[in-house]
Amino acid sequence: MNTQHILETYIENIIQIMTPYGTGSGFILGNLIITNSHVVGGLQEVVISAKKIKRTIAPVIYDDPYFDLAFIELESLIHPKTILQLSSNIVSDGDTTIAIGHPYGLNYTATEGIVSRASRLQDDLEYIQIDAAINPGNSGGPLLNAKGEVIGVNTFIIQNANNLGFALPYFYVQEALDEFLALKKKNIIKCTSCKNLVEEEKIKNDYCYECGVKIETARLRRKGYKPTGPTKLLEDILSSLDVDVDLSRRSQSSWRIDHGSARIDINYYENGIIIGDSKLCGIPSKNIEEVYDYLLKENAKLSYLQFSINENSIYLSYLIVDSSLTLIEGKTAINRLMEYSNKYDDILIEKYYAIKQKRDEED
Amino acid sequence: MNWFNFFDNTTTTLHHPFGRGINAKLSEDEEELFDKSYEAFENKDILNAYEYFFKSLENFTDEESNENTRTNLIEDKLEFEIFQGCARITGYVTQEHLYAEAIMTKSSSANVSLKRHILDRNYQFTYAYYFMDEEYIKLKLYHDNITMNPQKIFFPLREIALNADFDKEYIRNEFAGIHLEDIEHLEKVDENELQIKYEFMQETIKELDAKIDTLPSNDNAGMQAFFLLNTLYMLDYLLVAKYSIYQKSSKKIQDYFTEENTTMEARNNELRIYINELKAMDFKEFSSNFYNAKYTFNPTDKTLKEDIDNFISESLLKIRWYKNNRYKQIIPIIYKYISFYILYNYGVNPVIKELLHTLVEIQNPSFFTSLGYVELYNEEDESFSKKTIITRVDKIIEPHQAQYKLLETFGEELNFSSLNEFSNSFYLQIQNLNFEEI
Repeated sequence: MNTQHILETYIENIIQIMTPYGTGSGFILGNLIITNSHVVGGLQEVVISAKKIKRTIAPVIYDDPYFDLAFIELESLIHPKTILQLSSNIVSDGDTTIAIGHPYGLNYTATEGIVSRASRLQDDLEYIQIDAAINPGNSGGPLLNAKGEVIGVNTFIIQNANNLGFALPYFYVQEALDEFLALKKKNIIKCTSCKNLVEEEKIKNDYCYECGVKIETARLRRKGYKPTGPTKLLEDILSSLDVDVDLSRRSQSSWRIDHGSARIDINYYENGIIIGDSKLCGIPSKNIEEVYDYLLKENAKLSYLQFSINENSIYLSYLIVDSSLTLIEGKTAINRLMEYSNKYDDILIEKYYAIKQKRDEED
Repeated sequence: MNWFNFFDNTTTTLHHPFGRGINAKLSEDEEELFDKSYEAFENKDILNAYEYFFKSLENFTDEESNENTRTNLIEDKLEFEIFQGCARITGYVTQEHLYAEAIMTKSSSANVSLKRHILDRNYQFTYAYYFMDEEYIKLKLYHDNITMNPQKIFFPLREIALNADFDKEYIRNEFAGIHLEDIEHLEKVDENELQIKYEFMQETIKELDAKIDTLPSNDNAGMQAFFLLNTLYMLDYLLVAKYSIYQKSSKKIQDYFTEENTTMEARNNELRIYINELKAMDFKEFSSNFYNAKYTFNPTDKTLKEDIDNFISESLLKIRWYKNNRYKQIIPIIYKYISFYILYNYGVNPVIKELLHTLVEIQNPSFFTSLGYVELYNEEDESFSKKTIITRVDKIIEPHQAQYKLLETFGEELNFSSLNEFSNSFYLQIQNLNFEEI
């Protein structure tokens, strides 16, 4: 199979994983989603999406910082047309490989390469060294052979080097799966010291009950993600507007809300400015001045919000400095941004023939 | 030594604008007014809080208010005006919110390009935005007072004022035939002053052409750049032209430093073409680029003293290189360039600003004497008005010594043996100034 064919065949198995700390990749294997431990960021829950899975929250039921593996429970019964299989064949130098993932958030990117070295020792673990271009965001994605079998999990790259990628080999994945499934329990953490699997509910004060060391993953899972300051206030505002904050959160400082036909992006910048933007449509090709007149006259009526143009797109925006944000005013403003964006995009497209935005629905 | 100037320590009361910032002084009570505003905001005494705040923005010339901000309390509403060059910001404050606007031009006169321009500008602003009513295109600002304090309202008002001023100038320059509205507050510049400025510009460009001709025929791009940029910075600082001269000069200087894909020779050529345009400008056209106005906000953000010191050090190193390589003709130009560059690009504190202005006055005596200022340096016999200069330097520094305990006057430390030596010692002394608050 060529790369294109492999991607098309297995694309439904490829998962995008999002946490407040970043995004990564994963893939379906049986009833689990396999990814890297560093992708789930020590959280008990992450947001996942795939070709056939809308953004949804899924529990991380196994976290293994030693192998850098994590398993996410696939609660809804998704059956990809063609399921991925873990390889059991020996990987050799020069074998063709295909890495699939979401590097830098670019969905479903497949890159082809070869095995540069089948077994490269890093600390006390073996890794498959590949020359396929993998980037941040590829982490947790599958490394496939030419038959489309999973030979590894793309795990790390050497920073500032060209095409030096490393994948955790299939046999470690199989070993972890076997151990985990044998327990028939959820919420399992592998202790990085004694390598035993420990049950989260039995852990006290984050200490491994087998060897007595503090387990960082246990601490992180217990602590969870708790926004503070203006970020918390923003999330409180969104919650008060019935927005599912966990699903809308793109990072610790950005949120995306789809409301009717409108999409609103809220970003909190380091300089303290909070910008809620809705890119409504592109400017039309005819009677453009009429649109400008309409936008400028509507600006006279609006409070909190404003129309502007950037790179030929029409925006409705709300801008505020974090120190001025309050629950009441913020709620009014963001509610208006959601409602008015949903209204104005229709008016601009239907009445002024503005151009509808192309949008990646899986994004 | 010029003995005629030995006892001359007079100061003039002439007031001409110089450079792009505010020339006037803030109120001596500025900090106290700001604190009172803060306190009143804390106590939810909103209208008084704003009144103190607007008072803290007021600036003065010879102890007299320039009335660059005005307020008028009418029952439960505080009306205000803020002047910033071309722009007049009017608005009101209630217990709940602040509204401010600047009238730009008539809606009926706006063309499609202007409308697009202001919609594009809306995307760049943080607090203010353009709208259109039946009569005018306006820039407006709305802010609630729930969490308000003087720091928080400073930046929104600064944004609307600076941008209304900038955009009005831009509109007049860019969109021919579109008339600016609400500019009755602008004052004409005295005809005699304009004549002096015009002649100075012509003379400066003539001298520039002659000086460039003296440069070695090859490998002189660096020196040409100093000559050309210094001319533009100097004209900008001394003439304080507005409208198209301001806009084009800003653009030419910006392009010079940002167009990385063109050679220095090509960039020099662009500057020379523009300077020749200025040379070809007749007096009538030249005069249409000037007005006097009140200003409230400085356009540049404060620069760290360290950055200024570094720039001086780097420039003095360049001078040393040219000196070692015997390119003496460029040295006085770089000494001038340092002051003009800092005054153009950096938000400097009032002490350094006044000191650099004094140096500019010494380095460019003909322009200042033609405006009626006391001569600080005689170009013919190369003598300084030493006593006046020392007194001036001390008078600039002394009022700030209570605040900055380590700040020392340096008039007596200056080297009066030649203009180059003087400039060199002046910059070194500026580097020595200590603004640490202890």
